[in-house]
Amino acid sequence: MTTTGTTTEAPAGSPVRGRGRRLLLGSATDITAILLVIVVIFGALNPGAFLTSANLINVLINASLLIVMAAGATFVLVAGGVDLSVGSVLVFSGVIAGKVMVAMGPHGWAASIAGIAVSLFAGALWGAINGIVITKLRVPPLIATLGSFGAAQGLAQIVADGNDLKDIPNELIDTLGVGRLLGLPWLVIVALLVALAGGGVLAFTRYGRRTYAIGSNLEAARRAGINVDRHLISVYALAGLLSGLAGIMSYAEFGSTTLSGHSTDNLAVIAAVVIGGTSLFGGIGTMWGTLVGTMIPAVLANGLVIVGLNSFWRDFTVGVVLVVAVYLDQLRRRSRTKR
Amino acid sequence: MRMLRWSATAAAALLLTSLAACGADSGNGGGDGKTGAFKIALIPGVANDAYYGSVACGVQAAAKATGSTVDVQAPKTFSPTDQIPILQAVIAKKPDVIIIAPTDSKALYAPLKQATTQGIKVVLVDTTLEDPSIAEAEVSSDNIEAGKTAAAKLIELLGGKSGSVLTVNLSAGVTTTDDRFKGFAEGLKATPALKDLGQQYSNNSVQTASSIVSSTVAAHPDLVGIFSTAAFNTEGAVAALRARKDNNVTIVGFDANPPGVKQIQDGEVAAQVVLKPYDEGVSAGEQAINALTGKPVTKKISTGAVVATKDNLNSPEVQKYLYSFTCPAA
Repeated sequence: MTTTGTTTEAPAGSPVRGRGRRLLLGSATDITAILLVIVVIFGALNPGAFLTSANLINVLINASLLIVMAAGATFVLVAGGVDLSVGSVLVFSGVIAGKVMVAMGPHGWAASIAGIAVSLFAGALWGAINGIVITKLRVPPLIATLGSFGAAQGLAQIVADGNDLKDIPNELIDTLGVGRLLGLPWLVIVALLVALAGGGVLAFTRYGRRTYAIGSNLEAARRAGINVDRHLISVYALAGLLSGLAGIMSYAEFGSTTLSGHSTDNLAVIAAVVIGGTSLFGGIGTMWGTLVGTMIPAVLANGLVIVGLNSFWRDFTVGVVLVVAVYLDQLRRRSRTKR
Repeated sequence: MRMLRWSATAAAALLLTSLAACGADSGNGGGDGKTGAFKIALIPGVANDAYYGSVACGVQAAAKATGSTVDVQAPKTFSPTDQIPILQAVIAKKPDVIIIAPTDSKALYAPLKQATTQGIKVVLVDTTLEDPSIAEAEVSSDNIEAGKTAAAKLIELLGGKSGSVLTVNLSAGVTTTDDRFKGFAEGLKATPALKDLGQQYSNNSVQTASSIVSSTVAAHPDLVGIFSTAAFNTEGAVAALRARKDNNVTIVGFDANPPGVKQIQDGEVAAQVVLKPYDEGVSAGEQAINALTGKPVTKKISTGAVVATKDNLNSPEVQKYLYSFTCPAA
């Protein structure tokens, strides 16, 4: 019944060739249309449950950790790299922050702020190590970050002795964890601010342009006088820093370090970034695309349960959307080289 | 080229529509509008686990009696990060009651509170919360009692032999398996001929369990009994003893998953302690319906355990409790 409505829906939103629109959305136009179509379908099937503000905010909450990590991964992928360690670094940062907060309190604002700082620092440290191993030791990014994926997870479990930490300052739970500002959860506000800031840096600053340049052609960037190694280390450190931020967010949200809950975050993050139109070969990508690419799996996970399908269907549909997105990317690439 | 692009986008959209549409059909298939029929949502701890399969069977049996429908949504892994998004989507559907096995005693509190403030009743099954006050009822297995049952069975099977006994446990801090060991150690104390070597953690790895057992056999040639608190550990212990061709050690395992049943049939494991997930499910379903219809609710229920051996494996009493996705005929 809704089929006719949606097939006409898809072409309507897109053949806009305005410069402004293209700068903003870049390669993410198609995927934005797909997200809108998905929202319209679920909205039509069960508006009472799906289209409530409480439900949509829940979808955003559930996507917020991935948005933060995917913002970092966008820089990494645009620079032509890859980072498999994000979920483990998240867990590691949360555990270290947890230990520090227990030692300091375990309650109160001082402990909370120290926890946030330590989590950010621990994440950035892993990221910097990733970057140094990749640039200075010349280990391919896939292997270097696969190594730190295992190492960070293992070290987190050693420090936590295999048990989830659950002592977290109430101040942190009440604000970052479940608190709201003007009706919007802090988790969502932080995630959107990170995406906004990341998008701004990527699109409008010299740092962003250098990231694109290195991803497009590393050797050319080097000859143009960019300190490629230093820049790449800073990109990986940024990705690590954001994983650390996600670590303290996760701890505040769940009230537990969720040691075993993030083992597939890395693939979810890469899928989200790639669905959003960022090229696996570097040089192309936008933060808006990443945001949309993160929301598609989140909306599917929520909507499919609401319409009564088993949540396993999400894995299937996200897989299909991923391949379609990359296929569209390939088509664009071919058409451009022909011209 | 543009054509191709749009047909690809349209195809993806079409696929989604048909998917979602068929989901909507199955979702609205029954239960709506009938008086006395309730919408029950069941969220187990993890998917593809025969234990929770039996819990679901029990809930369905209890629901059938009142013509209620059960919608089962299981997370991919036993973790709050996977379970909470599913729970929240279920809350948005506004079922009458949510029966859930919380994957974390703390993390699930806030989202479940969200459900109760919207008037959805909550019943906890198998696992529980640090603060279970928001739930109508909690149904769980008594693992200390089950551990004692295991000790009694092992003592009976050894029939007066003396020697050392080892417990292969899962990992530190898992309350259910820790309770099993506690009960077992207590039950063993009564028999001074058996020396308790204490517990070793396998961290849920078959290899580790296997190496724990083979090194213990080497260190303690008088080892006569092994208590394994979980399925993986039993597999590891069996593998280690098979490699040594050792028939002097009696294993009492835990859980009657399909592989566990086969171990009994093959004589590799003398007995398996079997919890009663089916009863858990039935009790949880009944209490949920009691709460909805205003009948008195039993706040805390614990279900016991049976012991399966080669002799009683085919008796209906034991068959009923073997963990399975196929529900026993009611």
